[in-house]
Amino acid sequence: MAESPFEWLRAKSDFPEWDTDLAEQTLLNQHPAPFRPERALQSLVVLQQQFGQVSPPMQTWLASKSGVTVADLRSLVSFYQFLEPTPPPRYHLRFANNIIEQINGVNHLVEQARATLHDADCKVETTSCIGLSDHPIAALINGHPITRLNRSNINELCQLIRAGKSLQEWPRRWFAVDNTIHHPGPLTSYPYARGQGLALATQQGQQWVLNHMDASGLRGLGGAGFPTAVKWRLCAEQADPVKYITCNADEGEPGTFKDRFYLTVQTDQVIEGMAIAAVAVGASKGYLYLRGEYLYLVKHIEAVLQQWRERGQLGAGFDIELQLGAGAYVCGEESAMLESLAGKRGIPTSKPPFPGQKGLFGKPTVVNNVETLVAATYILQQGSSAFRLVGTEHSPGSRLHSVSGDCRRPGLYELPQGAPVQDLLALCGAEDAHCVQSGGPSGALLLRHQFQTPLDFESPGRGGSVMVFNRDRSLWDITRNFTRFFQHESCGFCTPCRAGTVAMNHLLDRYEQPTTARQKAQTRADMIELTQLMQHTSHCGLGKTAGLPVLNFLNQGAGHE
Amino acid sequence: MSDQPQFQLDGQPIPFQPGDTIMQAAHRAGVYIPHLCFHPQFRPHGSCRLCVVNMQGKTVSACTQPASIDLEVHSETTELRQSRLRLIQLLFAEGNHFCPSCETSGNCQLQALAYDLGMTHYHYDPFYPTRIPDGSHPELFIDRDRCIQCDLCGRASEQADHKAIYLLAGRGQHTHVAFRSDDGELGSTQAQAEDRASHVCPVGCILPKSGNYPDIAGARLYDQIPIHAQGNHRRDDGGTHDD
Repeated sequence: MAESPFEWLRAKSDFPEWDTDLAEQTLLNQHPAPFRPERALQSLVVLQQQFGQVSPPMQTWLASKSGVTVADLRSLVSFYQFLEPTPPPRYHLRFANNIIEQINGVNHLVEQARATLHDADCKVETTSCIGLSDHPIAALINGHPITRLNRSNINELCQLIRAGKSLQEWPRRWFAVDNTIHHPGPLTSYPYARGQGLALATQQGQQWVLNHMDASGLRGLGGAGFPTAVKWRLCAEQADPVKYITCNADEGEPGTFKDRFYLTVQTDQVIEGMAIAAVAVGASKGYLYLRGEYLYLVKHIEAVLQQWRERGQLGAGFDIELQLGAGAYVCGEESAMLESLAGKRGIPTSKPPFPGQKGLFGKPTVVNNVETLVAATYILQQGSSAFRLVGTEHSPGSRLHSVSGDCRRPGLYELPQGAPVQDLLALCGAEDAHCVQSGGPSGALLLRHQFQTPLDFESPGRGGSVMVFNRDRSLWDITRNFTRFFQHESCGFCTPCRAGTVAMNHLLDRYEQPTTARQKAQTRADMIELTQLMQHTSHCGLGKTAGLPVLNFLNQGAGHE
Repeated sequence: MSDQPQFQLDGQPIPFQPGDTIMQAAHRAGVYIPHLCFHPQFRPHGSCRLCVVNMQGKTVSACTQPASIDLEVHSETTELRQSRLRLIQLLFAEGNHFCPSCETSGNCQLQALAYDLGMTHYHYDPFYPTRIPDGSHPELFIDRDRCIQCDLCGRASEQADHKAIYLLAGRGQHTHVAFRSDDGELGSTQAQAEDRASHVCPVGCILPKSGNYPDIAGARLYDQIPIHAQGNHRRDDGGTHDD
């Protein structure tokens, strides 16, 4: 038996010298046709992991093998943050600089690490949320997660780096990721019988599955809440015989980590959901797009996929390929994700056409979030009426909330749709909560008097990501963290987002300056106008919502600076 | 009127053909919707957002939105004019533009549209980005300071010249025009001054190295007739390219 394709993918601090034979072997182990042009991004990602870099000579080699020009490879490297054209340091430490990490003092740790490691072979950087804000402070070391860093263990970590200790010798507990469910619900606690829902779907056929999904009322749990059955039906109705199922596991919304749980603990349900969707629309190929920050889950997911193939439940009529992102939040936008899957920069495309009509490689494509697929598996096994037992009329079912910030038990809580914020806060031990940011930076800021707001698709507080802040936290700091995040993650395609996110930060700089009341009022008016401009004229959802934190601040936060 | 399908643009019926976008149909009917990245000969891009229009309570870009029967589209509203003004101001603020000495001054679509929309100042703080020029080509000069990331050069190079020389690279505010050559320089590509792509830039980013400033102020393309009255043109297109 040959080495498993991902065996080399482990936490390491020594990278082999660039070697074209090793490169070719690694790529071939991982994929039978790694030099097809649409594999260019994936091949760069694999080379980055194997050699710690994608240097110009490596790009030239890949260009000659794949026929993709060096300039196009360079444009990919310039877009995806985790692709590095320069030789790797022995240690690459990337601290998450999400607001949750920030209130826990990540800036001090970064300073401390930079000061202690200034002459070490270590690069200290920050990156957007890495899906571990229930274990602050979290960082990635050479792509692998380290959790619960604080002012004392950071010294120990720095000493290990200064001593040149290989990552294998570091304390294992540092790499621990806790996926405890603090409050289970239907999706996370039912007696799952692997393959049962898929067998039923196969037996009953396409129309029955579509009708069944319709009856469940399931809505997309990635955040947009679009009815899943409508999405599937649109794709099913297309005449093109080639269709794709894609699973959006690019969980990048700051403060969200539910997909990390599902992909680790309920991997079977994710895979089965994709297979059910394939029956519903008539697809023979699926792609699971995993964010680069979740590299450490690749071996596990691949192993589970392999089990499905060995049992004959995947492979013959429908198979799934795992692809990795490389540090670009915008790729969570469905059309950007499809571009990225096709090996391009993650630039959202114009809608219409919708992915269901013209998606991956121009073919009708279903794009579903990880949790939506888990729910589809549940619905097929337990029935649509079981799914509707909880939740509201328009937002049936339940969902997993990622809770982080100022509470005693940050982590995962499954609640029926429509449960009020205060229920969640009581469960997680957040009696001192002063405000919560629900639904991520582009969601709603809810103050104490709004804690009865339901978490469902009809209310401003959609949930999913729920970041809790107590009275000591500065709403100004929260707002600035979010607006900087959007500036950093804008894909740069359209004017209002590319330039607007920068201009917004300039306006916030100005707002911070001591000025006359009249000037302050003008800056405030300019910020509101820019928010609306971005909302109305941006190309995709990122730009449309990138100004909302500022609006939230101006509406709710004045006086809490 | 024939029984061709129509939609309403600011109350005026606009006939359209199957597959038309709002912009294509309006353009054919001779009705001007402000734009920079749209060009009738090339596939739509939808990045500049100057062509935003209102339709069924939504704001969409006319260059990417398919036309459909009985749509009521609004373009020349006070709110949309203000949005376009702000978008133009963002484009000015994010680059390094210096109209008075620019080779393209008077013939520039960005500048002409700014005048048209009544722009008198930047409104936003200038970003003063550091952008690297490219002078490697014997006949062409690239000044990225003035680039608006519209990708017209990329589309013209691909669709008209069949050379695919230009592309966009980078992310966010670092997005920039790049060239398909091993060293990344324009001089190492097959680009020629006669290429369509060398004559499509709506601003002063892709410039010939000689023959600039041929017209005195007052005799330039947009000196007498505003852009909304004559459409998006370049002084070297003989008044035909945008028809």
